[in-house]
Amino acid sequence: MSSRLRNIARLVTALAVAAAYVALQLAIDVGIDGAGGREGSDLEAAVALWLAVAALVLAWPALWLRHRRRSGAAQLVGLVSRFVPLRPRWNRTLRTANSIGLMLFGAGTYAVTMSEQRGHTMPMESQFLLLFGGLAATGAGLLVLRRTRPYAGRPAARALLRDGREPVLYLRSFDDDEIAAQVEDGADFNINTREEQFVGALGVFGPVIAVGQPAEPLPRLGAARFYLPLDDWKPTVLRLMDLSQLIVLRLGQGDGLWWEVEQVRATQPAGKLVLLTPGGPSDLMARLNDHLPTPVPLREPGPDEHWVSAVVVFDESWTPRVFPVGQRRTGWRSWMRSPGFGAVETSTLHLARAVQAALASVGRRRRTMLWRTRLSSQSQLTGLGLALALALAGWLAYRAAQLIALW
Amino acid sequence: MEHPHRAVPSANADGAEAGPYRAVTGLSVAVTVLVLLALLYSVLLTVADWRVYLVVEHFLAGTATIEEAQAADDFSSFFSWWKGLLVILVTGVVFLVWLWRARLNAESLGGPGSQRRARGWTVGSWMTPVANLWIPLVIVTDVWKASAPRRSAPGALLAVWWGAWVIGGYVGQSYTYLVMKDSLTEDDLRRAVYLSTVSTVLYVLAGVLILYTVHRISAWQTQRRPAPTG
Repeated sequence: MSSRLRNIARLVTALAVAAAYVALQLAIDVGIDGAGGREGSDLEAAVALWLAVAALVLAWPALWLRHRRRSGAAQLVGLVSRFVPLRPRWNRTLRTANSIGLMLFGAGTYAVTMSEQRGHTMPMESQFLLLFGGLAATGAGLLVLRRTRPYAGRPAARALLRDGREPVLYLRSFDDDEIAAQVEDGADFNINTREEQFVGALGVFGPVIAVGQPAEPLPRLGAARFYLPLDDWKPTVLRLMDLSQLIVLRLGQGDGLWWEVEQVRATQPAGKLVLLTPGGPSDLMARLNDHLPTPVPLREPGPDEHWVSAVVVFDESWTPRVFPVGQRRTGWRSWMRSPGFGAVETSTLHLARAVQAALASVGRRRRTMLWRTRLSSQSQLTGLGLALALALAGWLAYRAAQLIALW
Repeated sequence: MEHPHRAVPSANADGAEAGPYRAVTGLSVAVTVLVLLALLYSVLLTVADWRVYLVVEHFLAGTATIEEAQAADDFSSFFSWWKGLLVILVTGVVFLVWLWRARLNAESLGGPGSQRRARGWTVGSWMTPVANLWIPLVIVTDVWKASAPRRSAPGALLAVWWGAWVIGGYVGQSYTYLVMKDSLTEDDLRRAVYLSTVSTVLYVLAGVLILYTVHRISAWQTQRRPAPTG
């Protein structure tokens, strides 16, 4: 499924759900009026009916697109799901707890924000209730998330099934997972790792999947993991290279990784590959040049604080284009363009900026990459969205119970 | 409150180099003058509120004249919202410029890892909701620690400064809510005057403590600045 079709599917589904929701609310209104002996509004009944019809009409394309998304991903899901270990049942409880933690966190930070920004429009009691209630909810949410987040990683098969687009294959040396698992200081509450933020940026292309480190107790957060047998991993990786729309490879040590470099170079189109070179001095670029017809120009190593120092992409003839990470832009225009208007920038945001420029140079332009990176470090927004959805569902259930009680 | 991992502690978390020493003495004088001006404005505003309140009380008791009420109203209307905003904005900008320079110096003096939060938060944290409840305190504490010869900060003093500033802000919002009401009762007016007084007392406390902090940090950084070479 293409990104455009996926967006259409999301829009149609959202419209169908919204129409059904409003239709139900209006129908309950009419029902409550009727049960209370008041004359129900004909207009409300008519609007409810029309919205219900619209929801039904939209439900068909939504379901068809869902079926198409799932069947399109079937081959990939079949390939990967053999290597996703079964999760124990209690993991579901932990994931539910994680969602509750997110909701508390999101609703709490929203309440504190309201107490700050709208405090002058409410009495002191309400203002302090919002502040202390919000702080308590935020703290409770963070405590819950501390325990549950490690279990929140999404298995590769489910990520592929839910997204439907061709995946982005993230290859790297397992030793580098520690660096990618660090948390950078880009948000007031830092809970998201570098890899989570980077995967948020790459998510503009498709679901990001990665081979997990064998025997790791829990999948790391970020790219959706699957686990290959140590003695028979190469055929699956080769097949996944064919089925992926993009291969993001972070150079590092390890023979397995260099076998992957060799295979990408030999079997894949050049435009599919995005190379990430680590910061600090190393001989990796010289080693890479042994595999390329046109060598990557050797340059001074990037600063150590960036976990990736440069992004390399290739044109059709495997001529490299190098985009250093962390080159500062100055001036008003770049400040205005930066996501969050010049808010604190992390090295992962710099990396996303370099990847965006690199991919644009080979014809893959995505404008929302930087915003996605920034948003992926704002878990409170996800939590707030969940809390809002739950509140809307709860309100509908409450009104339905009111109606049933009246009848 | 970082969670669940501690964020990568780097002075250069936003990819910038710690530069040479930046002079802070002149700015600290400017901050002192402006903070004192802002405090004076706040105190006078409270005096004006009390005058209005007392005149209204006396007027209702039949012991004040129209002229007295008019005079109190004239004095009060001198303190318009835009004048207050202007004073706060200018003071805030100059203070942030001082803090930014002091932070850069602290990075050089304290070395890598001396600052818990990234440099961008030095300014950004004051304007970001929720973050502005504790990150500015962390920034100032770390700047103090890196600048002081003993590498320690007076936690209680800075906590009182920060508590007075934050609570003063919230009390000030409640005051604004009352005075912006369409119809103000005598009880509302009394409450508004009390809130104005509490807010001003807290601001004066916070102002005095931040002036002490600015003075100490500036003095230490000036003493410990590297000798010019060449």
